[in-house]
Amino acid sequence: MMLALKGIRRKELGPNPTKVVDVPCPQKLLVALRQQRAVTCTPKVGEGDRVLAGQVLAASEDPPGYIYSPTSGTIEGLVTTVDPHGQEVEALVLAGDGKHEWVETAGLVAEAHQVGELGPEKVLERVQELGLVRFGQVGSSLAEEITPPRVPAGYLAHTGTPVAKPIDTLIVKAVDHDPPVNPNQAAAHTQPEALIVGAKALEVATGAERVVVVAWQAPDGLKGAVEEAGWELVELNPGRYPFALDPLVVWQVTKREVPVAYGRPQDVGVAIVPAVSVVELGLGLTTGRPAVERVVPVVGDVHKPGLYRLLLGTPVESAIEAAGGFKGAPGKVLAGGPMMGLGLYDLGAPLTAEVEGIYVMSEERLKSFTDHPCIHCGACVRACPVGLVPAEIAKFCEFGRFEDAAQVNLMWCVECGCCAYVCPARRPMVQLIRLGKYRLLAS
Amino acid sequence: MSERLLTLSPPPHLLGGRTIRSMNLETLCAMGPAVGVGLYYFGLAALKVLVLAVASTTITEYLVCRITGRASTLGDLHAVVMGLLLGMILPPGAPWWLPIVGGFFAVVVGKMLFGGLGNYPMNPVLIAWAALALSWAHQMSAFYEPGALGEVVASPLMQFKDDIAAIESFELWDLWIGNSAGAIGAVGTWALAIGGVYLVIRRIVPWQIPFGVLLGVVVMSLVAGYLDPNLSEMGWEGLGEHLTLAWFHMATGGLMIVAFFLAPEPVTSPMTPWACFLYGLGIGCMTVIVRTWGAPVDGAYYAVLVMNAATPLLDKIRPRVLGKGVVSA
Repeated sequence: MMLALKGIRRKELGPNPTKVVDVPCPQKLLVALRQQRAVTCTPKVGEGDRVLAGQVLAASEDPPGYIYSPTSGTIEGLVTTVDPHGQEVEALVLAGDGKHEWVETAGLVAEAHQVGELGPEKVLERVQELGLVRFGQVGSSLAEEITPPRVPAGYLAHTGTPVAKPIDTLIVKAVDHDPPVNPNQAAAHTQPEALIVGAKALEVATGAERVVVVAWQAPDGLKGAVEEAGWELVELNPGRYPFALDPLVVWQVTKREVPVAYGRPQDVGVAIVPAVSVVELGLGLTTGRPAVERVVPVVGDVHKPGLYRLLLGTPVESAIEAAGGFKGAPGKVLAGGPMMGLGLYDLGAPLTAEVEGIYVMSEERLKSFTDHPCIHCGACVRACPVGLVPAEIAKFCEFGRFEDAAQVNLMWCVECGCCAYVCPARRPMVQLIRLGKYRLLAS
Repeated sequence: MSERLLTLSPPPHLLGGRTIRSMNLETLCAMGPAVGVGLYYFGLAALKVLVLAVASTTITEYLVCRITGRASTLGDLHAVVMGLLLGMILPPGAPWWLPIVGGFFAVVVGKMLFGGLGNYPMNPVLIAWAALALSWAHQMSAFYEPGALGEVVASPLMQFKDDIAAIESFELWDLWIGNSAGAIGAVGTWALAIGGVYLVIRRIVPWQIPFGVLLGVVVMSLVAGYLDPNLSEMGWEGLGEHLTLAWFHMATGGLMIVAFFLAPEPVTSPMTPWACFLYGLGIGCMTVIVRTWGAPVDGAYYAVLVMNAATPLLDKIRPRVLGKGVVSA
C-alpha cells in the first residue's frame, strides 16, 4: 500500500535565511560541561586562568568529547545552571576580554580541494577532535551518527531487519522540520562553500555512493556546486509539517523506512546530517578551528525576529535582548520550534551545541490542553505522518495500559505533535505518549 | 536564576483552531439548509417539533450536569446538535410530548449514562428515535403531504413497502427537492447533500463514510432490483432503469441525513480510513436490505445502530505504520 505524507499545514515561514546579524560577545559566557546528552566533560582549566578562543576547556575520555573556549578571556569559576533541556549542569563562567584571540591551530588543516583525498579514518578523527555535536533533537555526537552500526545487534534479528549494513546514502538536510526556526536553511544559504567541503568529507567518511542534498529554495551557488560534485539536489516543500523530520526525509528521498522504535537511519544504510553540522565540519577542516559560534534563529514574539550569530555559551536572555526583547508579556520561551521545542524556565540557561533556535510566545498566544475525553473523531489518524492511531494510544496511556499501547505501536511515534495540533478536544497527546514511552522503558 | 516566570508545557505549543464547539457550530450551519426546507414545506408544525426537541435536550443536559455535580457541558453545543438532529428525524405531525420524551431519552439514556460526549457506544439520537418508534409507532408516522398539513398520509417509503410497483407513481424530482411526505429534516435531500458536502470539505466528516453509504445503496439497490420479479414484470430493463431504484432509496426515508449527519457522528463512527469506508458500506447495504426484505419500514436508522456496535471491531483495521514495512536496501 502506498503511504501518503499527511501531517498538517503550517504557513509560518522562517526569517530570511541570507540575513544574519552579528551579536557582540556578552560580558559573561556560560560554557556548559555537557554539550550533548550523556557526555559530561571534566574541566581542564581552573579559576583565574586566561584562555584563548578554540582552547580546550573540558574533555572526556569515553565517550570522547571536547569542549572549546568560545572566545578569549578569563575563567571566573564553576557554577551550576540548567541546560536548555531543563537539566542541571555545571558550567564554566568565562569573562570575555573582547579581543577574540584564537589559539594556534594544532590539528590538521586541509585546503578545500584536498578534502576528497583524506581517508575516512582521518575525517572521523577530525570530527572527534572538533567535538562536533550532531545538531538537533538527537543530541548524539556527529562521529557516532556517521559510522555504520558495527555490531550486528541481537535485537534486530527478531524484527527481520537486515543487520550491520554499510552506509550507502548520505543525506545533507538543509531544511528544517519545525518552521519558523530555520538554522539548517540559514547554514546552507550563508555558507554554501563550507557545506560542500563538509559534505565531501562526510562522503569520504561514510563511503556513501549516493549523496543527496535536501534543500528548499537553494541558492544558485549551491545548486551549481552540488551538480559539479555529481550529487543530487532534492527540493522539499516546507508548507507541510513535519515533512523534514529525519525518518520522513529518509523515506521521501530513498523510500526506505527507518524502524523508529528500535533503529536509526544508519540501520537502513542512510546517514542523515543537518546542514549546520556539515558546515561546522567544513569550516573545521579548512580553518582548523572548532565551531564556537552558531547562527541561531530567534523568532516568534520578539521585536526583531531574525537570525543572530551568537557564541556558544551565550545566555538565552542575551539572545532575546539581541533580538529586540519580548513583544508583549512573555509567555513561553522555547528551545526549538513551536511544535517540538522544549519550554525553558530559566532564561539564564546557556546556548549549547544542540539548540536549534529560540521561539518566543507571548502570553496571549498560549493555548492550554484539557482533560476532555477523546471524542473519537479520527482527526489525529488523518494527520499522523507515520500512520498510527494516536487516539487509541493516548487512551491506553491515559489509563495506565502501557503494554496495550505498545501493542498498537506506541514506540513508533515520532512525537511530531500533529495529533495534538488537530485534536478538537485539545487532549495532551504528546504528553500521554511520552508518559507511555517513559514508563515502558523504565519498567 | 532570572526572576521572570515562564509557562512550561509539553509540546506542541501551537494548537489548531478547531474545538468541539467549533465543530458542532459548523455542523449546525450545515444542517441549516435542510432545516430550511423542512420549515418551508411543513411550516409551524415543524418549527414546534424542532424547538421542543432542542429545548428538551439542552434543558435535560443542564439538569443532568447539575444533579451529577459536573461542570455544565452546554458550551460545546453538542446538546443543541443532538436536539436539532432528533427534531429533524421526527414527523411534522408529532404530538408535543414526543420530542420532549425523545430529547430526554437521548440525553439521559443515550449519552449521559455512559459518561457524556466521547463515551457512548451508539448514536444517542438514534437510540431515542428507536425508543420512540418502537413505543409510539402510530405517532411516529404522522407524515403530512406538503401543502396539506394536518392530514396524515403514508410516506413514499411506506407505500413502497406495501407494493413495490408504487415506485412508478412518484416523481423522483419531487423526492429530491423534498416535496413529499416525510420527516421534517430528512425530506430535503438536496439540502442535506449540500450541507454534507460542506462538512466533507471542511474535513469534519471523513469522506469515506458518506461515500460508503451511497455506494452501498447503489450496489444493494442493483442487487435487489435485478432479483425482484415484480420489477421485471413491470418491464424494467437495463442499468439505467434499475438505477432508478437507487435514486429512490437515496431520496426517501432518512438515508441522506444518515449518510451525512447521523452515520459520521464522531463518537460512534470508526476512525481509520478503511474502517470508515466499510462502516459506510455496511450502512448503505443494510438500509436497502431492510427496506426490501425486512419488517421495518426504514432500515437506515437501524443500520447505523447496528454498525455503531461494529465500530470497535472496525477500528482494528489500522493504517500501515511507517517503518514497519519491508526495509529494502
